[in-house]
Amino acid sequence: MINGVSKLSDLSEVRKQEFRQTGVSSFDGIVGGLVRGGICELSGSDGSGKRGLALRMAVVSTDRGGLCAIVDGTNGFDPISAHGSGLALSKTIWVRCGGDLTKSIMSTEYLVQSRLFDMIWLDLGCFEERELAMLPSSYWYRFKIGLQGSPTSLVVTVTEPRARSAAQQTFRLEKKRTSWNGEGNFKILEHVESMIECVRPFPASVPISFSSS
Amino acid sequence: MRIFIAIHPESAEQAALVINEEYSPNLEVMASGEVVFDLTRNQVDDIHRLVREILGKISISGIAVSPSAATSLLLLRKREGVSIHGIGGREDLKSIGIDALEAGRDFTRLMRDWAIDDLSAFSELPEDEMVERFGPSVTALFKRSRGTEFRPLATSASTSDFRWRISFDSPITEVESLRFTFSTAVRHIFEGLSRRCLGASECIVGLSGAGREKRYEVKAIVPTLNEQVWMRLLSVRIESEPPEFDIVEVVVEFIPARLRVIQSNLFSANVLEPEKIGLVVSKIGKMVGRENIGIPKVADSWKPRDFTIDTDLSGIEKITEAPPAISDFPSRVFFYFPSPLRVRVFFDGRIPARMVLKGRSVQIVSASGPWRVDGGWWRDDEWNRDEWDIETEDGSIFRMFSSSVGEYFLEGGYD
Repeated sequence: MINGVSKLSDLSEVRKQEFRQTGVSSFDGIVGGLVRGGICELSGSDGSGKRGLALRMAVVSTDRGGLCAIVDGTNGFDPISAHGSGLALSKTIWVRCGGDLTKSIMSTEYLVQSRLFDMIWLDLGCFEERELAMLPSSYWYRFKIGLQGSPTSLVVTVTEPRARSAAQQTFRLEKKRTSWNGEGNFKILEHVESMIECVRPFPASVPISFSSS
Repeated sequence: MRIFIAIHPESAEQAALVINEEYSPNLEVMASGEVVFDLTRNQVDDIHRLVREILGKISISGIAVSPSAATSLLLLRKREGVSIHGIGGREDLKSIGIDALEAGRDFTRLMRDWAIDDLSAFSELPEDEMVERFGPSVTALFKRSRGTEFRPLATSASTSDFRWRISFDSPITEVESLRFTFSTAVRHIFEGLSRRCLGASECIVGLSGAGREKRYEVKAIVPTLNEQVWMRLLSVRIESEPPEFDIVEVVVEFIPARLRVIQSNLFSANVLEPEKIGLVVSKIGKMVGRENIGIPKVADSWKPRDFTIDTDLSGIEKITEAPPAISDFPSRVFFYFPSPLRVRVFFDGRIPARMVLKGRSVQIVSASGPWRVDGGWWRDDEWNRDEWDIETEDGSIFRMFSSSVGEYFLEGGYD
């Protein structure tokens, strides 16, 4: 059995769909996983879990032997917590763009064109909204065209959605509840619950729970 | 028990035909003409009977049997007739001169000065003291002198030995049936490869049925006999280009290659192209700076931000560390602010209760800490600071730290 398909004739259909499982059953069950050969946009405020979900996608990608690229717009990526979450660093290319939006976009363009990566994570979460608003929407369509027919997923983390209709998948994340364990000063963050609102390709809501480490 | 039989060059051709056909296909032809067969898998009860059996079939001018291929060759070259060592045979290496160790003129002369003239006498020397005196390479000499030196045969085989074909009365329509067929073929072929100490570098699969044919070529980055890896590679290949017909015949063929010592975890679903990666990295590096693109590297320390970027990408296709197991739940990930944000913090006892961030008062609803992080006191770059994880009224969770002069900063947050 491959991807839950038992008939050889059905495999062609699976290929057309091209979803990559994330291992988060609630997410995979409803939206099918991460789209392959397209843009997946995760938006939300800091703390909503957008980067946590993007990292999960990268972890699964490297765990399956794929190569992942992280375009770190504002040098905010923390390899220590990423490695602690299971990311195979030796299968990861990290691009630090030092707060330069143009460099972030151009780097992503090169990576998309190479078609070498299972996943490219473009983190624009720390850029000013004003700056992101100046970004021509044609860039997103260039990415969309570049990704078509490739095995690469482009995951964009951003505070407000930017790729709009160029994205095959658009999700808004919102934090719901934080659970701490312990009392007084020495509490430990246990888990955080968020809600994923699926905007594209169809409206849906998916609850998701993040562990603290 | 391993059994290696070395045959004299004069009888090599005839022996190769008979022994290869009847006993073992696993052989190595030496540059000097001798042939060594590996009969390990033949489950020989009586080695003398086997030798008599072979001698009855072939006229052999010299034959040597030993649990080691190297020793078999050594005996064949130094003795005449039939020599059996180590497998129920009484032959020892006593009369074989010390020069058979091939340890260099000076070492051989020194041994002779010590009255160590043959391998048997050498093997009785105290190994620990010899290693201490001459270095660890002496261990290999001891193994040779005792007849326990091991080296796999460098076999040669034709690809037809590793082809497996099966036809079905009723066509295959199920993926699972095809996987089972592959699994059987892989196991069957790998048994033969394993006997010859070979790996598989490439697999060619031919599927036919309903008057149509489809051929797949699957390559591994390095030769391997890892069945799971090959099954995965084959599955990915079939998944990417499913045969759109019912299958009545399957042919699986593996291209043999010598195994590499390091071979695990080198495979990926997408075959990496180091040259292409190098090109992309140099293009981006030209734009963002070469020092800003590479593989993240985490130091084994508690020091904050103790990580680097490794710009040498030559190891990109090699797993250098085992990633931790993936948990059922995704994790919050920490991210750094472009630069730490200075805040004024007001405490309720020892617990942070409120802070002023960019001129705005923010209520802290939950806090964990202080956690003392320090180290490197024996070095110039000593570090120590107190850290808190704080949750603000809008639900954001930050990492806050205090500097040595009592200032507070938000370093980043959890997202």
